Amino acid sequence: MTMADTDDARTEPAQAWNRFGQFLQDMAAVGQGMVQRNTELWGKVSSNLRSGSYTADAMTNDMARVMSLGMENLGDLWDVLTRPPEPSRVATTLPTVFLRYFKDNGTWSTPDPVEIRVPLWQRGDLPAEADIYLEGDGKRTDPLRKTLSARRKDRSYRLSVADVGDDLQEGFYAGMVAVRDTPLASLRIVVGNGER
Amino acid sequence: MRGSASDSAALRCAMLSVYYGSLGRQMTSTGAPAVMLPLPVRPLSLGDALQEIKRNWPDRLGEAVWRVVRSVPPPGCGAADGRRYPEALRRLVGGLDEVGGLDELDQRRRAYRSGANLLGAALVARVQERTPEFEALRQAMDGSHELFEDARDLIGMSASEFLDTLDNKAVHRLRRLETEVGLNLYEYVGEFADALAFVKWWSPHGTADTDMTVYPATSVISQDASTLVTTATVTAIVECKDFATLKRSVDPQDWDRSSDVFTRARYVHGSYDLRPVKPDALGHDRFLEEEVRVAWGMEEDAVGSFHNVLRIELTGRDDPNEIDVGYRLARSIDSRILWDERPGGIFLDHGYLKVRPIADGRWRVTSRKTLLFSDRSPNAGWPGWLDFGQMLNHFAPAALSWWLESELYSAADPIYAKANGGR
Repeated sequence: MTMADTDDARTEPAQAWNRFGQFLQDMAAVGQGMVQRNTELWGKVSSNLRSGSYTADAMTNDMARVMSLGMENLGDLWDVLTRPPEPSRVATTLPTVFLRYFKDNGTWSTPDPVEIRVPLWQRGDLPAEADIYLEGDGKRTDPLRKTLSARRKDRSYRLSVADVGDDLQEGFYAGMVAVRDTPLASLRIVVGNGER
Repeated sequence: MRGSASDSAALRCAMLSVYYGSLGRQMTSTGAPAVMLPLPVRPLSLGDALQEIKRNWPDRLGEAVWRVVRSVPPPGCGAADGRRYPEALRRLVGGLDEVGGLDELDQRRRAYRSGANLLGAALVARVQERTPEFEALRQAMDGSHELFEDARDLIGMSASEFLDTLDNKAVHRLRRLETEVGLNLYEYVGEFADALAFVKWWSPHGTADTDMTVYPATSVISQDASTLVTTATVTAIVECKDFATLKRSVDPQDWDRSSDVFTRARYVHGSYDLRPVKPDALGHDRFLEEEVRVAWGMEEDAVGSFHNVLRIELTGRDDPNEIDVGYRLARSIDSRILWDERPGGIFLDHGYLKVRPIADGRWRVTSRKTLLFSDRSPNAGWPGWLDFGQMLNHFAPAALSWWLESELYSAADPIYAKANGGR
């Protein structure tokens, strides 16, 4: 048995245990987040219940909050199971944001904001605003770039559109939303005239 | 302001129901998508809505009745007949002692419409500079029709006198009128005659002596059947003693002072910087933060609300008696419909408000708005009214025309008079 064979035999089980340890750590973090979220929600619901008149509208609102919380919890669990942090640098998938601008009687539309969820293990120490990059000549991309902003909102970044000017040029644009060294989403934008 | 919050919600719902009920007749004939809305957002029946307004807000009944009356085209060559109007309106008018019957209204509409044809022809001849034709029509009008004298009630002079005041500047304004109000001159004069017939029928003893009186004239609503982009253009004739009062009523930062729709309007630094700006610090680029709401039911909670930033363009004009306010959506911040609260909510929101002088103390005010709500369920498309995401756009023709018209009527609120001060 050579020295290399010995190292391989030692490394594989160690890496598997490392991953298992990482998984447990992630699950603990997710569990903690879920407990905090559930407690906050229950605080709101119980305060509504104590308010005296618990109307059908208040109940509908609370139900919506429960649904939304359930989706958030499920989203975190899904992240842990399907997007585990890689211990080394490997290629990963990137979500895509698609925006479509269209014109009505000479006025460009303002597309709705899009939420970009940040994976659980990247949520610490996030800047208030993410960077947005568009590919191509600045002369062409600047009018579009200045309409975009990605601001942190709770556990995600909200890509919003505002102040769309007349100088927008038709065409297809590609780009990326990133925070420092971490890409958050790929950008695909169609600026088109004519029918929606 | 116009009453308490719960009163306002109920009034919004009742008025929207009247618009919804009356517009259905017009929209089906012009090919817009047929509308059947789900039960939670279905408006009141036309009859219930009219009775509700009569009972609780009698001062707003005129607006509602006018909305229903003009959904029925004026009588053509046939005899005037009050039975042409919806049953709900006939029942309502039958119980009102202070106005004549619908037969009388129909008779008046018929008579005025025939006079409007002559007036329209004279205006077109003047605009197209066909002088001999104009002179012949002008002479034919002298004392020939009650419409021409009754026009005093709306424009402060007879129709013949009005024709005499048409200098080059006024003719230039008339040329632009067709584009601005969305109707050709014949149609506009016809609508004007119809509005006058209604005013004479509804308030036979004249209007109260107020700083400002708003007379409705025309309303044009269109919806693109494929994109659901909705455009409404509403024009009113305003009688106002002091132009400054009218100016205040159309000032964007005062839109929320007497409104059924706006709950907040103020100038801010920018689309993302929502700190208020003092009016004297405003530069050329003006951003207006607005919060608006539309009622879907009788309860205060049953409203759709939108929070936006608009870019306002105040165009300087040579004539100090003219005002141009243009606006377009800068940012759709968030919105809520029933239980669905989310960022964004509006794709398109642009239009203008134009004030043009007609005669001494009389102005034409035209307000146009184009609106497209975003699809709230973009990944779940259902056909027609089953598509919750597009529900708002199906509601838009009624909601938008009511929005613009109620804003024009609210200009007459004494709150805009100088004694009460502006912002």
